[in-house]
Parts: sequence; C-alpha cells; structure tokens
Amino acid sequence: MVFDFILSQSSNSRSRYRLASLFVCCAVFAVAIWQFPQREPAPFLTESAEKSASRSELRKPARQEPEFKAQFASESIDDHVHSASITGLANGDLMAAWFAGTREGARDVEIRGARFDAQRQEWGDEFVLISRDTTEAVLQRHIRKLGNPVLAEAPNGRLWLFYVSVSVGGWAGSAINAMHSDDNGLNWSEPRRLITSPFFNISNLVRNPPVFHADGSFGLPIYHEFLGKFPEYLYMSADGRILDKYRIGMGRTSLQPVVVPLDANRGLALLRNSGEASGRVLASFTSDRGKTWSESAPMAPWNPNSAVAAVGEGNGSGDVLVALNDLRDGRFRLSLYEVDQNLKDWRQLEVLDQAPVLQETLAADLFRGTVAQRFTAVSGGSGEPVPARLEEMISESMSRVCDDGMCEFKYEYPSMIRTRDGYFHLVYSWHNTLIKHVVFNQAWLETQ
Amino acid sequence: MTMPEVLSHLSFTLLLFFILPTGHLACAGRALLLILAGAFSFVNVGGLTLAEYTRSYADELSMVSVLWLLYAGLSQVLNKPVVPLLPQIQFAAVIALAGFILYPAALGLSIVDPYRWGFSPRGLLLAAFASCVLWWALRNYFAMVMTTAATVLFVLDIKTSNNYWDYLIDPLLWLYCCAYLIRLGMGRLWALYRGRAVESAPAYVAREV
Repeated sequence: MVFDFILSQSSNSRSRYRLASLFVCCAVFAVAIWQFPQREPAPFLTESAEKSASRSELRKPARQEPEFKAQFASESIDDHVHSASITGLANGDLMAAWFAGTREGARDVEIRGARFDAQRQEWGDEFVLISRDTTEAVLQRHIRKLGNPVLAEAPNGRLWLFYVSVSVGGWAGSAINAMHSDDNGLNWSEPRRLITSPFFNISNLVRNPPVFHADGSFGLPIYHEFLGKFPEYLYMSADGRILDKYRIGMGRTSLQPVVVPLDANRGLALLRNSGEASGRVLASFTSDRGKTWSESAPMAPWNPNSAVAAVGEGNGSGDVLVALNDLRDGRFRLSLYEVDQNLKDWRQLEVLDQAPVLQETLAADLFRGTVAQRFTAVSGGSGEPVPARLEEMISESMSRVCDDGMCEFKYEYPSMIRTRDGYFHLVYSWHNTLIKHVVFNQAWLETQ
Repeated sequence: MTMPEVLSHLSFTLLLFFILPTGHLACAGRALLLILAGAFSFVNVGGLTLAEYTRSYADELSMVSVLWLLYAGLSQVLNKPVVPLLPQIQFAAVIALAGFILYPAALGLSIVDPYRWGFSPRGLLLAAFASCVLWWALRNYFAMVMTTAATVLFVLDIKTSNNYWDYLIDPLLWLYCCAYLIRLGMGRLWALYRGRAVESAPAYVAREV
C-alpha cells in the first residue's frame, strides 16, 4: 500500500515525499484561505435606499384619507390554520402564507398561500405552496411535519419562502427550508434545506421575515429551541447562501426574534419571552448591522410567551409599530403599539381583537355569539354568502378552542409589513380557524 | 444523482459494512459483502431508500467520517490495518476535543458560537492548517491526509452544507471518537490494575491471573 511503499523507500526518497506532502498541504490551504475571504455584513437597507433599489413600478404615495379595514385572507374553515406571514409583491399585490392541517404538527399539514389582488382589493382562492410529501420527495429524506412559513420579497423582486420541517421528534427537531420565485410566486424553485446547526442540523426555526441589506444580502431572524431557547441572525447572500450566523442572545428565555432596522447600522430585535414565569416582551439592539447584539432586556408590555410582530413606521418618523398579546397570560387580546426607537415610550394605538370580557376562557354560548358577530362584521374572502359559512365556521372554531363548555379566545402569531405604497398589513391567526388580514395607512396612524 | 445523494449511499454502505461481522471471510468475501451493503442502501421502503432514511435521522456525515470509513472499509477488505493505530488515536483525540469545543457552545451554552467560524472560515482554516503542520512534524500522515482531503472537498463544495465544520466533524464521529478513547483508556487502566494485582498477589494467584 501507499504507506508501505513510502516506508520501503530510501531515506532520501522519504524526505522528498515528506516535503512534497507538506507542499501539497500548504497549496490546498492557500487556495482555501484565498477562496473564503472574511465578510462583514453590509449596511441595512434603509427606506431611501430601498426606494432607489426597488424595481417596482407601482410605487404610489399613501392616500391621505385614514384607512383601517379587515378581512380574512384564508378561505377554508376545515383546517387548523396558524403562523401566517405576509409580503408585498412587485406588482402591488400581496401574498400570504400559513400552515394548515387537521391540527398543528399533523402529517397532513401543508403550507398554504393566497394572493391579494390590489385592484379588486380582495383575497383570491387559497392554494398549496408546498406539502410534506413534496418536501420529502425533493429533499429525499423522511419528513414528519411542516410549520412556520415566512414570505418575503427581496429588493430585486425575488420572492422567498422559508418554512420548517421536522424529521424526528417535536419542533425542537426542526430544520429550515428555503424556496424562491422570480415571477411573483407563480412558479417556485424546489425546496432547499439550510444547514444551520452542527448537531444533526436540528432545532433551528424561523418565524419572522428577513431584513435586507444594501448589497442584496439579507438577515433571517431564526431561533433555537433544543437545550436552550435563544435567537440568532442568519446572514445570507442575495442567492440564499449562508454567509454567517450571529447570536442575538443565549439562555432559555427568548424565541422568535423580529428584527427592525433603524438606520444603516443600527437595528433592534423584539423577542418572545419564553421564560417560565410571566414576563415582559424582550428587546436587544445592534449597532454593527446585526453582527453583535446587546443583552436582551425586558420592555414595558407584557408578553405571555407569544409571538410578536414589528415594523419600522417609515416616512422618517423612526418609530416602530408592534403587534402583540399585551397580556400576562393567554392570547385573547391582540394590540397594536407605537414605540420610539429606544423602546421607552410605548403607546397603545388600537386593540385589534379581544375577547368581550378580559379573560382567557368564556362559556361556549358567549363565545358563539361573539365569534358570529365578529365573523359577520369582517368581510369573507371566499365570495360565499356569509350565513352559509357561519354555522360551519363557528362549530369548527369551537372544536379547536373549546373544551368542557369553556372556549378560549385566540388572536395570535401576528406578522406585519409595510409595503412600498405606505400601507401596513398585518395577518394573524383568528381562533386557529381563519387568517385575518388588517390593513391601515399612515393617515390612520396619525389619527390615533 | 446529486453529490449529497452519492455521499448518503456511500456513508450508509460503509457504515453498514463497518458494523457487519466479517471475521472468517476471505478478502473476496469481504469485498462481496461491501458490494451487498451498497446494494442494500438502495432498498426502497415507503418511497425512500434506506440510505435516505439514515440521512433523515443521522443527517449527512462529515467528509472526515466518510474518509475514515473508507479507510476502515479498505482495512477490513484487506484484513489488515494500513495505518498504525497510534496516528488514529491521536486524530480521534483531536476530534473528541474539537467536539467538546463545538457542540455545547453551538447548542447555546455560550454566547460565542464556534459554528459560525465555519461559515466565514479563514480563522478555522488557519487553525486546521496549523494542525496539519503539527501532524506533519509528528509524522502523523493519517491525520494530515484526512484534514487536507476534507479541506479539498470543502473547496469543491460537495456537501449540502457550506460550513467548514461540517466537513471536519459530525456528532456521530465525535461520539465514536469519545467512546473509542474511553474504551481505550479503560483498557489501559484495566491492564494497569491487572499488572499491579499480579505483582502484589501471592504466586499461586498470579499464576491463575
């Protein structure tokens, strides 16, 4: 063999082989070191840079009249729906995604989507973006369940869909997958598994949309929940290759970061408080484009271990809009807050949805009446007459959130964006039966 | 077939061959067994091959694991070790140490995440190069070849991961190296204990021991 051969050579020959081996080794590492230069994160994409970088031709100023309206983005009421995400499209339409199935974590859960027609101002039919079977077939690995889709449109018009899949165990066994579309979501690439952990690539999840940097790269806020529960910032190139990973926090108390850039270098991350005791929403700051983060600190609003959404208000105000369940326990109220960049002055703008009485569970009769009234008040997207769907919707809702004659009001998992036309769009789970879409504009904000 | 798929079949084949008993088989018999293990990796159960199921649960092996398994497979087919044991023990010790640095911190026990060094890998490449020079000085060509070959494959970008750590180490390799070193250490301790016991025992007991 090779080693026997070398050992059988004369001392001179052995010295030559020895030197040659060192030379080859040096050459290999020289090439490798040359090929992988150190990268620093590019500046965050600011509002002004975003306008000049955008390829959208449909930018229009926000209308002057205050507007605030709500409708349902999802159509089917047969499935448990959860974890919605929304994005603007280059042509001015919107697209939302969520997961739907018989229950969270079921094998039949698929990632569904719907498109909002900006001209007709209504949501179209929902469709399957990706299923467990397709993910399994493409990735060629066993997949138990899917969850947490995140949609985002890059400044170059590329639409990204991230979602998690689990091969073994619960959500702690998750891995993140990425797909993209270059035609506003009509055709999608095959899913690709992102490798984000050295330990069997498990336990990294995604919940909130990426933040774009000036050179087209982006940071995907992700979180880990295996031994610890902590947030991270996955820095990726414009074509989706992982460039670096920065830790936002550590420990076992924070999840689901949502990142808001404040200027080219500064940004903040709001974090779901996953501590065992009731806690406040947590926040962390960066001043070097997401590379290092301050230790997370509790802010004013309560956070009952539930997801938080946030977006910069834009128009040079520097304020941040935050949607969250501002409760010590339960998810029966979802509020919209406005807060300054330092997260000191929190101002409640609107209660988006809440139970009629401020408690988590109510008697089934009260639940039925409230849900019927709220459902009728919000325009459905299906075009089907509302009364025909009402009874079915109520019984489906009650099958999900009621137990022993008591029902739990659930308005949770908000996701919020600001589109280029100056409108704010918020989607969230409505009793795990429908995805509700709320839209408002800057003029409405000013009236609050 | 993509390169990650090729690697998953190769890994499954070599792992299966590694754990199969080949005690009394001749060289040709062992080679046949290796081929059968390769064929077994393509057996389809419920739409996925056995290699794909293994990859679902154990994820992709590192290139060092695959290369080491290739070496082990070759040694098993030839029925003799190609490389002396000491270089492998030294390399296993470094892998075990690297795992103790990487895994607890990457899983959140520290604010420093060593896994990120593999995405922007200049520092890690320099450390690996320094280790190769050390191996060269120690004449441990096994470790040097393993590390250099894994680096070549990293440059060629043949795995799903683009993190350098994932070419050098994986949890199964780390656990194997730890278990191997513990077993080796226990064996040494046992031998030492037996030696002392024999020395201090009365002559009639020492003869039996």
